[in-house]
This record gives sequence, structure tokens and C-alpha cells, in this order.
Amino acid sequence: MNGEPLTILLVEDNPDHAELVMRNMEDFQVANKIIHVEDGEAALDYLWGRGEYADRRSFPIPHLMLLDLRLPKVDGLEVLKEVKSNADLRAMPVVILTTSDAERDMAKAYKFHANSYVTKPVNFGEFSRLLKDLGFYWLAWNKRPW
Amino acid sequence: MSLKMNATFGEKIRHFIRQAALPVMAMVIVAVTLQYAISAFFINDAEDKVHNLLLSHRGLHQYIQRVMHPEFYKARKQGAIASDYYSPELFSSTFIVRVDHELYNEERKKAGLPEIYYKMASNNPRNPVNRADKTEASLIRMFNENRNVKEYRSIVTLGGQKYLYYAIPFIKTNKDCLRCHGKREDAPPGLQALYPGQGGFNEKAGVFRAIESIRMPISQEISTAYILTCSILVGIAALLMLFFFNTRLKSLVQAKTATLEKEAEERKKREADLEIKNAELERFTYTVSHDLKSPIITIKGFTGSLEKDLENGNYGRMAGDLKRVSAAADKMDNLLRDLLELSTIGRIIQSPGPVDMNLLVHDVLEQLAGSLKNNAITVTVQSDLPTVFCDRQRLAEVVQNLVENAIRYRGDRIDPQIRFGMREGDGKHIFFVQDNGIGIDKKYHHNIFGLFNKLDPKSNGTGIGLALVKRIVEVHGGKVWVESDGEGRGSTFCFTLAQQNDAIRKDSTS
Repeated sequence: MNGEPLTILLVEDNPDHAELVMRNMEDFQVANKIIHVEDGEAALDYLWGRGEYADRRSFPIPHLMLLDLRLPKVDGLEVLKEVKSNADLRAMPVVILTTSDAERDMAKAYKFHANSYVTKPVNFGEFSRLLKDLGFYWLAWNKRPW
Repeated sequence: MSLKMNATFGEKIRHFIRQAALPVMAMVIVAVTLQYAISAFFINDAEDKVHNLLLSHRGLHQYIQRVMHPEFYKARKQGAIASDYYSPELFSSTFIVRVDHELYNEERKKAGLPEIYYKMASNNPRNPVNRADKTEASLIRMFNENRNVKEYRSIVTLGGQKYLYYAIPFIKTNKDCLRCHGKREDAPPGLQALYPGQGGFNEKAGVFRAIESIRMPISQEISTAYILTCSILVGIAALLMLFFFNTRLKSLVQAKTATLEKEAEERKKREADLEIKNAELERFTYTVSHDLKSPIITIKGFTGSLEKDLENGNYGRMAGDLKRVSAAADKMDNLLRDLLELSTIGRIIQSPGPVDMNLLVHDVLEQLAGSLKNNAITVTVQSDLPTVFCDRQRLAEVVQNLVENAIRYRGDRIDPQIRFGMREGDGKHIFFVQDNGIGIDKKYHHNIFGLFNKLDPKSNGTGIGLALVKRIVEVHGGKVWVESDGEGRGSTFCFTLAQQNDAIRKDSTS
């Protein structure tokens, strides 16, 4: 709040899914800024402010990360592990947003301290509502760490 | 059928006889030797007894001759005994020794021992009981004719009993003997009165007039020898059997253990194989469900969005969304086709044969000619490629996939190049497809062969191509890998095939 822009980092390799997520987020206007990266390596580069993401003003530490699991280069679980083992980033809410409803993935995600685990609903109406609820919960209701 | 069975049976018997012949022969030899040795021992023992007996008789004879007689003669001379007094009980050593032996036999009997036959056998006895029987008579003759023969011995059977028969000539008749055994008229009158006939008289000096004839019963010893032999034989046989069965049992146990170990190993291997297959299957279903669900979410998502836009009269992005829906459907179609392809590889391997790689590469490039030309790619193929042993159609898919990959990831160079070639390594042909395209960072070299693993999410591949290549190459018993110095520095995809004869692993499960 306080005029501070709310930033979401969306890590999603499927451009169509990314488009759907961003479209819904924009519709509900829960966040001021959604940054989309397509693979785990880019996500880590962003979070650690490396390379093209060095400028923290343009690429601030997000208030929420939506993380897919199956990602090119660096896997989603690997990204999660890195984030949660870093003292500065650990507090950032990480919501796993994935196609996979495999027990194993869920168990691993929670083991690495995911804050939430949701699967992408096939039904568009549900998909929209999920993103709206997610946005409102984590960015409005929830007391943010920063 | 029955004939064959008989043959096997006969064969078995022959085998058994062959096996048993040697031990049986050995046992017979051992038995004979044992029996001989043990009998010899007992006969020796019996001989010793005979000698002892004779020596003790001789001692008595000596006593009579050298102690009693002189004493008698002295007493008679002094008149203590009537000059015509004679009594065999006091004078005849033959009589005394015979009676002594009879008494000895009585004692033996009381002690439960068999009697020992003893006779001072003579052809000219004073007492008929001392008359030599036929054998003894011939022995007396033999000893007199053959002075250097000192003794006679043999094993005889009499009335079902076995004896050691032993005979030695009695002392040669000497001057002292002739007092009583010389001419009748020279003999003591008492003696003459007692023995009216000529028996025992008219002997000549230097002649063996009698033999000592002894039959030592040895039946008990012989049977003891038999029992001993038999016991030892049974013992040896038992030991041999034990040894035989032990050896046999050992080899049986060893064989069984080996079988069990082998089975356990095989089972372990099967289980490990199964585990790998299971893991593979799990990964497969996981990725399939994930990657097939993905386009469905896209389709449903954008059709939902389209509906909403239609309601709101928001037509601007509808064409784009429809394209996304269509592309997602196409992607599903491709996925399904590739998946089907992948799943059939294990099963649809045509019988392998010799394949000329020059022709194969040529054919594949022909098929891809359009795409190569459109992208202005220069292709070079090494000449004189070898002929390999493989499933031609599948190998063509490998080459095609690798070349397609090289086209797809050519990057934005103005001089894209693809080279097909071969080099030797580890005694194998290493085939390779080399490009000067986007290259691959070392850390992804392993990943890229996994199912649905794509480095570039925007690329239009399904993520199955390299998994397919890997599967085909592995079914052929070969290996596939990538060599690249990193992004922007081109890639070389290499693969091997197994050697000639084991080119295709029988892998019917997929």
C-alpha cells in the first residue's frame, strides 16, 4: 500500500498460461506490476538481481512469486529451494502454480517450504476466481513481509 | 520310446559299473591282503605256541634223560632199586611226556580251551598209541631221508576244524637211547618183562626214530581273523561311503548354492530392471499427464476468455486467442503422435540388417531438402561412411530427428551449417550431427534427452524428439550424447551403435 507498487513475479514457461494468468491479474487489478520470466534460471537471476535484472528499481524484490514446477534449465523446485534457503528472500510468499497434481511434487514443494500449492484449474471460470482470490489473499489480506 | 528308456537305463547301469568297478576292485585287493596278513599273524602266533609247547616238552625230556635216569641208574647200582625194576611211569620219557600232555589237555579243557593234539609218533612204538598214522609215517621217512629239513608245517582241516599241523623230528637215537631201544636182550629186564613184543627195540643210532606231531587248533583264530578282516572291511567301506556321500553331498550343495546364488542374482537384476522400468513409467505418466493437461488448460482458458470477450463485445484480441486455441490443439495432436511413436519403439523394431549409412543419410537429407533450402543451410556429409547393422527405419528417424534439431536450433546465423560424419572411439563408430547453431550450456547436456525436456519453451518442438533418439539408440545397444562448448558455439550430437552381432538388444517390453 502507501503508493508502493505491488510486484508479482510469475515464473511460467508456457506463454499461453502466462498470458491467462496476466490477463486475469490485470482484470482484477490486484497488483501494480507483474513480471513474467520463462525459466528457473531467469527467475533466480531476477531474484538475485543478476545480469539484465541488476536494476532493483525496475526489478524490485517481488511481494509474491507464482512458480510453476516444470521449468526449462532450472526446475521450479530448485528455484524454491534456493529462495527458501536465502535469509533475505525466505520471507517472500511463494505460491506453486502448476499443472501437476502429483503427490510427490506437492510433498516436495512443502518440504522446501512452499507457502501454498495450487493446481491450475481446467475450467476458465475457476481459473479466474483462483487467481483473483490468490491475489487478494496474498497481497491484500495477508500482512506482507515488506 | 521304451527302447530309448531302456537305453538310458542301460547307460545308467554301465555308468554305475564304471563308477563302482575301481572301488570294488580296490576293496577286493584290500580284503585279500587283510585276510592274508591277519591269518599270517594268527598262524605265527599259533606257531609260537607250538614252539613253546615243544620246548616245554623238550625240557621235560631233558629232565627225564639228564636228571631222572642218572638218578635211577645210580639208585639201582647202589641197590636202592631192584636191578630188574622198570616202570614206564618212571622211566619212559615218551610215556611221561604223553601223560603230561594228556593232563595238560585236561587242564586246558577245564579252562575251556580246545585240546592240542600231541604225539610222539613212531613207526616202531612200544605202546600202540604212539604208532604213527599215515601222514606221520611219511613224515618220519621224509625227515630221515632229508636231513636238512628241520620242520614241517601246514594248515589242515579235520572234522570241520582247522589246525596248524606241525612236526619236527625227535632227537636222533643215541647211545643212551639204545639202553632201552636197542636189542631186546640188552634192555633192562623190567622193561623186557613189560613189553613182550619187539616194539620199541632194535632202533639204530643216528636215526630219527620218531617225530613230534602237533595239531594246534586254530579255528577260533581263523574265525577271529575273518571277523577282524570283515570288521575292518566294513569300517573301510563305511568310511568310503561316508566320503563318497560327503563328496556327493558337498557337490550337490555346491551346485544348489550356485544355482540359488545365480537365481538370486538374476532376480536382483530383474528387480533392478523392473525398478528402472517402473521409475521410467512413473516419469512417463507424470510428464504425459502434465504435458497433455497443459494444452487443455490453454484451450479451456482462452475459450473462456473468448466467451467473455464475446459477451462484452471486446473483439480486439479474439483472432489471437483463437490462434492460441488452435495451436494448443495442434500441440496436443503432435504430442499424442510422438508419444505413440515413442511407446512403440521397443516393440516395432524390424529385424535388423546391414544398412549403408551413406544411402541412409542421403535419403534423410532428401526428405528434409525443403526445410534445409528454406533456411539456407549448408549440409556436408562425410564420404565413405560404413555399413552398419541396425533397423534402417529407426536409424533414419534418429538421423532425421538430429538434423531437424540442428535446423530448429540453428540460431540467427547467416551461414548455418550442418555436418554429418563419423569418427572412431573406444573401438566403435561414433556418428555425429554437427551444427554451428545456438549451442547448449554444459549443465543441460544430460537433461535434454529426457522426455518433454525443452530448453527453450518457445520452440515448437514437443520435447520428445531427443527422448525418441535416445530410446532408439539404446534399443540398438548404443549411446547418445551431446558435445557443445556452450551457448552460441554450436552443438555436436553423437551416437554409437552396438557391434555387428549384438546390434539389437531383444527388448520387447517398452
